[in-house]
Amino acid sequence: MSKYSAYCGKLLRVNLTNSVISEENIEDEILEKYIGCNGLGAYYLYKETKKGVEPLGEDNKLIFFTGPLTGTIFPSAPKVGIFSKSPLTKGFMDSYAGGHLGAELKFSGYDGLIIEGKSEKPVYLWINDGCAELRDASDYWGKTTTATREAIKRDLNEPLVRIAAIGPSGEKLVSYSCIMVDGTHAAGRGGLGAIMGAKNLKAVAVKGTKNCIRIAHKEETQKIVDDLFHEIRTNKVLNSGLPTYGTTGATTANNSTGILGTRNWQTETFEDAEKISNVELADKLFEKTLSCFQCPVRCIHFCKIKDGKYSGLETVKPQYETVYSFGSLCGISEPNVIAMANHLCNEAGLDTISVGVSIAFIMECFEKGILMEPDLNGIKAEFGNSDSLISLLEKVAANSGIGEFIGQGTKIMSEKLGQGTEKFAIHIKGLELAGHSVRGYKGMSLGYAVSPRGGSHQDMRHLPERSGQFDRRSIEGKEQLVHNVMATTVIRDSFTYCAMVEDNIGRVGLTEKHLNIINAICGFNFDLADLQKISDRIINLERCFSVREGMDRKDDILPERFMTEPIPEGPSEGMYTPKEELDIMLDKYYQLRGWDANGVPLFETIKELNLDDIIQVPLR
Amino acid sequence: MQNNNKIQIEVNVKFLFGLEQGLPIENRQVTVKLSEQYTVKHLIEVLENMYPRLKENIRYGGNFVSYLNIVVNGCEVLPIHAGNREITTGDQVVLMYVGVGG
Repeated sequence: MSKYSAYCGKLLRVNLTNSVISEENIEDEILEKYIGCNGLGAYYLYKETKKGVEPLGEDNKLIFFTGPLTGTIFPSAPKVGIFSKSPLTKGFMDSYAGGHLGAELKFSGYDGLIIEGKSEKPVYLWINDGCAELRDASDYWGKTTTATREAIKRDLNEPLVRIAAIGPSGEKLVSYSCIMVDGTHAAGRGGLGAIMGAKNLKAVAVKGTKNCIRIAHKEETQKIVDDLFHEIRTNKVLNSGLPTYGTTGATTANNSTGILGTRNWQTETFEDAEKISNVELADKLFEKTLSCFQCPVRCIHFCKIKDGKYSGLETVKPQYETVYSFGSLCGISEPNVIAMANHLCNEAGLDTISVGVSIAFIMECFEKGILMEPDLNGIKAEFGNSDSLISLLEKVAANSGIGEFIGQGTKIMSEKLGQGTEKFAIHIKGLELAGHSVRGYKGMSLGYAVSPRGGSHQDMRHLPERSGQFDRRSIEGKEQLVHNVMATTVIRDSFTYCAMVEDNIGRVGLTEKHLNIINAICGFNFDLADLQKISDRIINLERCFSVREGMDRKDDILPERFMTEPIPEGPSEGMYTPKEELDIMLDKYYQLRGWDANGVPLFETIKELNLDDIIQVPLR
Repeated sequence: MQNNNKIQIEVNVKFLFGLEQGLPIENRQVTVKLSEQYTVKHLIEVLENMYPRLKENIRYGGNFVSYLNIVVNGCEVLPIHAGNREITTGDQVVLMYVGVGG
C-alpha cells in the first residue's frame, strides 16, 4: 500500500496473448514524480513501448489510469484517462472519459490498467472488486456499443456495471474510432478504439464496491470541497448554463466573434448559427440531465427528438464540438440531423470531431470538383446536404465503400488525393481540428501546433483569450501563455478533475489551489515549484515519446489554410497565422521549454526533470 | 467622447449562453438608447435598470463575475475595462458567459 492517501497503489496488468492477469504495485517514487492519470499513463507508455512500435500491433499497449481525485469526495473529478500510441497521429495520445468507470476501477482496487498483447478471439475484461477475468466476446463482435453494454450486463447479471466498449468501427480499425464509456461518454480522440479492436478486446466491464480510499487531511480537504461546491453553486455557467445547454453555448458565442469553423473552415461565420444554437438545441432536443460521479454540474443531457426528421430517437444530446463538426463545418443547420449523426457515432464508436472534419473535407473536395458523385458511391456530398452527411457517416461507420477511405482520416486522404487538397486538410499531426479557431486565437495557434496530440483543444485552452484576459490578436507573450496553460491542463488531467471546473481552480498557471488540493488529499508536501516541475516533466515525457517516434519541428505546423488564407469575413476578418509568425512563437516556446531549435528536448532539460532514468538519448 | 451635447445613440445588445435567463427579452437581443454616457459600463448600468434581474446574472457581491464575457463588434472587452470602452450608434455589444469545456 502506498504511503500516500487517495491511491490504491496498484495496477492491473492484462496480457491478452497468454491470458495472464497480474497485479503490480505502483512505487511511491513514481507517484511523487508523475502524480496520477496523465502522468502515470505517459510514464508507463514511454517505459513499456519500444521505438517504432506499430500502433495496431501486438506490442502497443493500451493503458487506463485514474487520478488521485477519482472516487474521492472532490467534486467533478470523474475522469479516466486512456493512453497509447495513436494509429491516427503515430504519436503520444491521451483521451479522457467522464462517467463512473474511473471511480468503479478505484473502488475495485486499482489505480490503472495496462493491456498488452492480442487475444486470439474477441474477449472482454471483467473486473469485479479486485478479481479479474477475460470472457468470451465472440457473440458481441459486430454489435453497437449500446447492444454490447446491454449484452454484457445480461451476461454478468450486473445491471449497474460500468463498461468501456468499442463498436463496429473499432473492430474494423477505423483510424479515429473511439472508446465509449457507459454510452454517454467517450475517450474520443486519436483512434484508441481501433487499438482495442486490434487487440480483439471488445469491452472492459468494472464493478467496485470497496470504497476504502483514504484522505490524508480530512478537515482541510472538506474545506476545499465545501469551497468548490459553493463556487459551483454560485457560478451561473456551472449551476445554470451547463445544466441547461451543455457546452453548446459556444456555437453562437464563437459565431458572434467570427471564429466558428464553417464549411471546412473556408469561413468562420455561419449564417445559420442561430438555428443550431444552444437555445434551439435545448428547445428541440433536451429531455433530462445526467451527472458524472460526484459532479453537481450535470452537463450531459439525454434527448428525444420531438418531431420532424428522426422523430422519436432517444439518444445523448450533442455537445459543442459535435455541433461544430457536423453543424457549421458541414454547413448543416438542422439540430435533428446533428443529433442523429452524434447517435450514429456513439453507436459505431467514432470520434465525432474527426469524422465530422473528415466529411467536411470530402464536401470541399466535392465542391471543388476533385471528387464526383461516382467517386462517392453516388452520394452528392454538398455542404448543407443533411442526407448526404448521414449517408457518408453510415459508410464510415460500416467501413465500407467510400467510408473506408474517409475512415483513414484527413491527413491520409489528402496525401492519397493530392491535387492541392493538403491546403484544406484540417488536421494537426494527423488529428482533425477541434472547434476552436486557429486563425482567431494566436495563442491557440501556437498551442495547437505544439500539442502532443495535435488538433486537440485540451492541451492549450482558448478561454484565456476568449475572455479578453489575453489579446487573441497578438502573438506577444503567447509562448509564456501556452507554457502556463499547458501546465494547468496536464495537472488537471493528472489529478483528473474535469475541464468544466478548471476555471475555478486556475486556468493560466498553477496556483495555491492546485497545491492545496493535492497536498490535502494525498498527503504530499509539495510546493508550487515541485508541482511546476511535475507538469514540465510530464509535458517533456510526452514530447520525448513523439520525438522518439519521429516527430519534431516539422510536425509543429498548422493546416496550410490557416497560414495562408485570412478569415474572409466577419468580426475576425483578416486574421490568420502566417508561417513567419508561427516560427517566431515556436522559437520562443522551444527556448522556454529547454528544447533545441528543432523542438527536441535538450539532454540538460531531460536530466533537470529527472527523466534520464527512462529516457535514453539520443532519442532517435 | 464629451457628453454635454446629449447626442442619442442606439446600440444593439445581444445576450448569449443563458445570460438572458429570467429576463423579459425577445430573441435574446434588445436595442438600447444612450444619451448621457457612451461607454460599455454605462450601457450595462442602463441594462441593469431596465432588467433588475440582470444583476443576478452578471454580478456577484457587486462585482462583475469573472466569467462575464463582453464583446463589442467582435472584440473582447474585459469587464474591468468596460468604463473606458466607448461605443457608438450601430455597434453590436454581446454579453455572454465565457464558456467552459467543449
